[in-house]
This record gives sequence, C-alpha cells and structure tokens, in this order.
Amino acid sequence: MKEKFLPGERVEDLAEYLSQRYRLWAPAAKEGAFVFAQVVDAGDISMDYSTTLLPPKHAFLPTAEILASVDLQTGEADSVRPDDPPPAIFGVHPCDLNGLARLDQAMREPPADAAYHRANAGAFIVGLACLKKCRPEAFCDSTETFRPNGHFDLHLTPMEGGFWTSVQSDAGRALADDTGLFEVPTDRQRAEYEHVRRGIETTFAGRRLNLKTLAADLPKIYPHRMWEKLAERCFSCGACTAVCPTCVCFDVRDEMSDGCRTANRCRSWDSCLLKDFAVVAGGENFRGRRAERIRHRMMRQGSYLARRFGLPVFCVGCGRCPHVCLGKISPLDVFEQCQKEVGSGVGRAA
Amino acid sequence: MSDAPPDQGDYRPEIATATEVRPLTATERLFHLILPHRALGHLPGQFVQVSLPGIGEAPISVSSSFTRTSGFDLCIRRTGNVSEALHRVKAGGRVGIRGPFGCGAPLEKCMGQDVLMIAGGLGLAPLRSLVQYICDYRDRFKKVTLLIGARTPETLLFADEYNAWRNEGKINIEATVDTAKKGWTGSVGLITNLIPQIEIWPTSTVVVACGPPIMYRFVMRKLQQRHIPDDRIYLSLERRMKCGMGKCGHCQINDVYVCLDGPVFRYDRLAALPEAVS
Ligand SMILES: Cc1cc2nc3c(=O)[nH]c(=O)nc-3n(C[C@H](O)[C@H](O)[C@H](O)COP(=O)(O)OP(=O)(O)OC[C@H]3O[C@@H](n4cnc5c(N)ncnc54)[C@H](O)[C@@H]3O)c2cc1C
Ligand code: SF4
Ligand code: SF4
Ligand code: FES
Repeated sequence: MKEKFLPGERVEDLAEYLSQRYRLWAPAAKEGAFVFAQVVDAGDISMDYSTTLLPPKHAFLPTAEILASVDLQTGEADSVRPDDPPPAIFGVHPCDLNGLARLDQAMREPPADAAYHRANAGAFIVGLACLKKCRPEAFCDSTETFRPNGHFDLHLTPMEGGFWTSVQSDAGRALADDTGLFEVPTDRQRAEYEHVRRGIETTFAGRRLNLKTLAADLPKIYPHRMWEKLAERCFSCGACTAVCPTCVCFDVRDEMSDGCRTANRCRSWDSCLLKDFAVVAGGENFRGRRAERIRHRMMRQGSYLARRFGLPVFCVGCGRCPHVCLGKISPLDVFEQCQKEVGSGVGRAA
Repeated sequence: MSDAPPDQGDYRPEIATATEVRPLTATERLFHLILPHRALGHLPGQFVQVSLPGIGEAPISVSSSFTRTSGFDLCIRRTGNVSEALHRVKAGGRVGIRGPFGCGAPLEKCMGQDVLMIAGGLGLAPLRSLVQYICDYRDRFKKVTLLIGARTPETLLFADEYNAWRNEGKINIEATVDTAKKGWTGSVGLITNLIPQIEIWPTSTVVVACGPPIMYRFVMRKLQQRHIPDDRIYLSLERRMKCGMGKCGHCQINDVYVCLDGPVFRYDRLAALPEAVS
C-alpha cells in the first residue's frame, strides 16, 4: 500500500475529478440529516458528516433498476445501462466500507450476479476514517468494523492540515499520479497519522460481543422465547432492512412499459421482515409468523451469512436499524443476550 | 475495486421454442421446448426459470431426462399469473428460459441400489425425469419402485406412460387416488398406505420423494417405521424463488438456499434446518 498526503483545501478538487469520470455519490446535508446523494457541485459534499439515513448501498444496488429489457416488436433483447459511467462513492465511513465489501461478496459469490457486475465494473471508492463514534446506537466497536477493511481505492484519515491517504488499488494509484493533488508525506505527518490511528484504536476499544463464537452461538438459541418477545415490538415495517448496508435481499418482477412495446425485468429492494416474503403460489407461507421473520434476519446478520462468507459477523454495527426501528430492536442487544444465555459473552471489556 | 468477470448468473433469458404442447389434465399441460443454441444440460431434479416477457417468471422442474431427444419437457400447473399465461402458449410459441438451476437428484447414490420413488400430485413432474433416466440406464439400478398418489384418477399425471415404464423400464408402479368413481381398479386411499405393503431392504434402498409438505410429514413417519436410514431419503422442497442464484434470499431455509443447495435435500441434512419441514 502506498501513502500520500492530501492537503485539506484539495478535497473538492478530488471530488470534482471523480465527478467528471464517474457517477459520483457523496455525503451531503439534506433536511437536517445526511444522505449519500449524486453530486453535482463538489461544494455540497459534507466531509464532517454523521451516519447517513441510508447507507451507500443504493449506488451499487439501486432501490429499483431494470435488469433486462426486450423490445416486443423487434424481439431484440437489451442489456441495460451500457453507456453509464461506473459509480464512485466518496467519503465512506468504515462501517459502510465493510458493508459495501459484504454486499460485493454476496453478489459476486459464484454464480455471480451478472447485472450487478455489469453496472459496477470499474467502480471507485474513497473511504473516510471515523475518529469518534457517530451515534450512541452504533456498535462498530463490537463488530470490529471501525477499521477500513481494504475494500477501497483510496482511504482518507482526517488530520492536521488535510488527510492521510492510503492508496489501495491500481486505480487509486493511477488517480493519485494523474491528478497531482497529493503530496509525499513528511516524517512529521507520518508521526501524527500514527498518533491519530492509535487514538482510533483506543476510542473504539469497547467490545460487547465475543466475535470468535457469535456465529456459532446464535443457532443455539434458535428455539427461545426472546423471539416472541421481540415480535411484540416489531411492526413488520421493513425499515430495518431498508436502512441496512448488509441486507441485500431483492424482488424481481417482469413488467410491461412503453404501452406494452417493451418488456422489462425489474429488480427492487425487498425485505425478509415483510409478511409475504416467503409465500409460494397456492398461498403457503414458509415464514408466516413475525417472530420467525425477526429471528431469520438476526440469524442472517449474526450467523448464516457470516459463516457463508467466512466472516465473524455480517452486520457491520452501523446502528441504523436500532435508530429507525419503532420498537427499538437492536441486533447488538440480541447478540449480547444470546451470548449471555450461551455463556460466551465478554461483558463490557476494556 | 475488484472486477473479476462473472462466471454466469444473468437475468436475461434465452428464448426457447415450444415444439409441442399437450394437455395432461384439466390443470396441467406438458410443453416440449427447444433452445436455439444448446442442449439444456440438466440432471434429473433440476429446474429452470420459465418466463413470458412482461408477464413474469416461475421456477419449473424439468420433467424429462437429458437422455431423451434434443429438447426438454416442462409440466406446468395452472395456478396464477405466470402459469395461466404459459397455458396460453401454443405449439410454435416462444418462452424465456434461464437455467438449469439446483443440484438435482442423487444419481450416484442410487446406482447399484434399490430405488423407491414417491410422487404426490405434481411431484411426479420432476420425478418423471428420474424415471426416464432409470429406464434408459436400467442395468445401473436394482429393484425400482414408483408410488404415485393423486386426488382422483383424472388428475393422475402421465398415466398413458405407466405401461411403458412398467414393461420396458421394469419399474414396479403402484398408483392410488384419494377418491374414485366406478371403473377405477387401482387402490383408493393416501399414498402413505402403500408404503407398508411394499418390499423394502432398508440398507440397500434409496428413497426420492416429491410432493406437498403435508405429504412429507406422513411419508417420513412411514419410512422411519420401515427403518430406512435418514441418509438414504431425499426430499424435493419448494420455496418462493426470484433469482435462482443464491442472491435474492427468497428461497432461503435457515442457512441454505433451495435454488443452489436444493431443491433435493438429503433428509438427515434437513434435521439441521428447522424451517425445512415443519
Ligand atoms: C424448485 C421448484 C420446482 C417447481 N416445479 C414445478 C413444476 O414442475 N410444475 C409446476 O406446475 N409448478 C412447479 N413449481 C411451482 C411453480 O413455481 C409455481 O406454481 C409458480 O411459481 C406459479 O406461478 P404463478 O405466477 O402462476 O402463480 P402466482 O400465485 O400468480 O405467483 C406465484 C409467484 O410468481 C411470481 N410472480 C408473479 N407475477 C410475477 C411477475 N410479474 N414477475 C415476476 N414474478 C412474478 C411471484 O413471485 C409469486 O410469488 C415449482 C416450484 C419450485 C420452487
Ligand atoms: S424496523 Fe423494527 S419494527 Fe420495522 S420490521 Fe424492522 S424490527 Fe420490525
Ligand atoms: S443489522 Fe442494523 S446495525 Fe447491523 S449493519 Fe444492518 S442496519 Fe447496521
Ligand atoms: S431464488 Fe434467489 S436466493 Fe434462491
């Protein structure tokens, strides 16, 4: 990995450079909160933002998109979005970097999702370190996702006068050379970066989960009354999955458009919390009870997908779902209670 | 970021031609389909995603063996939006195909063994591909039995093929119906009633069953009474499906995906999946 220094006043130039070559998404203020928005003016970017309402997942997996379409008159099938430039996301916090890595892993696991691949080939990601926890509900310390994970092209760590920049990929190296925005760091800057990095480790040292055993622990409380208790607080609204960087379930529907001249195959976000998610023709519902659906989501986040992809946990502790949930249901509480019952928890370790 | 090319997994269907369409019952039709550029290359028990543009897509098991003809058969029941529209497709019509998907029936495990197939209702549609395969490679298997259950004699699928399966395939076939009018000479009653009557060597028999969830509950009880080990019993499961590639989450049963890891599962493996057969 190469290291560079980006003077603070050049951040906008970097964003400007990206916006000319990519579909650029970046954190911006909107109605008293922050969102990842498609940026028109680099001056609108907030580098000092707190967790966005939605994660940057939609830059790679849009809330709704056309996967394929057929012209019913000519019978010609079309691959969609061939001319769009690939997406770039600017200023991604570590929890969301880890989230994007998990999304990518899920979509690229063979058999890889060809539509996802086509839309995102050549994407560019610029990470941005968090120096402190963004909100009380976040638990990226417990899931150990407060560190960038290598799933970026450039990663910026704020420090005196600008940003320490870790260059991860060939694309990142090429960009750093091409733009001429970056400087060779001085020894003083290197020492200060080390200080900042150690500070991050100390700030995020609180662990409430034992990640070594969590994925194996959860299936042990599969039959448990806590799921019924949680179900009493859940409204099956699906807000938790919509705001989640690592919830990647979707629906595929075929639709006519253009006055029945074009047939489209459309993908849109879906939620395993919604009542009909597992209904088959004939009406049988394989996860008809709310408690079963909450349990399924918690198992996916804490165990099923973690084990499938060789990770300690799939949830990245961004804290978005407990923040939006009307019933204040938090994966951290569920995971922690599980480890208490199983006897593998860490308590509030230093 | 990493740009490894995908090895498969496209949502764009290939366009197949229906060269033959034939009604089997009041609600089921058999379609013979041919792909323009390739053989389907499926194994018994695998399924495809069948679609009509702008109408929808549905998972349907392949009803024929790859050992027969160039195309493949689908037996489709009319139940809703997509299947209703598919029933309007005539010979010469075109449908979209993706697949084959899933890992299919345990052919290797069946070789050199007695094979007991249990088909409830539409369950005979996927099992017919195994039946045809067995007929074509009959010497690879020992005693082969097929139990078929349907609501009435009129709803029995592929009834005109039983004689060939019996004579050429040397398959012992027992069919039963829930209710029958005069003229039906076969058994009346549930398919589970046939299990105690047949000869079974528990440790040299492989069972492959396909039917509705309710059937599995009772069939499993009978099979266990006959001391067939759980690791010799295979069930084919149905779930909602969208992508067919382990992405959309719709077909998930605990930590497995029916579209990738199934639809045929060994029963002892299902024991670790509480959501599988409730
Ligand atoms: C592995 C497997 C094998 C199967 N094999 C067979 C078989 O051999 N023969 C057989 O008859 N049946 C088979 N089925 C069942 C069959 O898939 C369903 O009966 C079929 O999906 C019914 O679809 P429908 O649209 O007619 O019914 P509906 O009740 O209208 O819809 C059922 C599902 O189809 C989907 N759907 C509806 N409209 C659209 C749309 N516009 N775009 C996209 N999706 C839409 C929806 O997800 C809905 O949940 C199998 C199922 C599975 C899982
Ligand atoms: S946000 Fe809360 S109430 Fe809504 S589905 Fe998720 S857990 Fe249930
Ligand atoms: S489960 Fe909740 S806390 Fe975990 S990554 Fe998803 S939204 Fe964030
Ligand atoms: S059908 Fe989408 S995951 Fe199996």
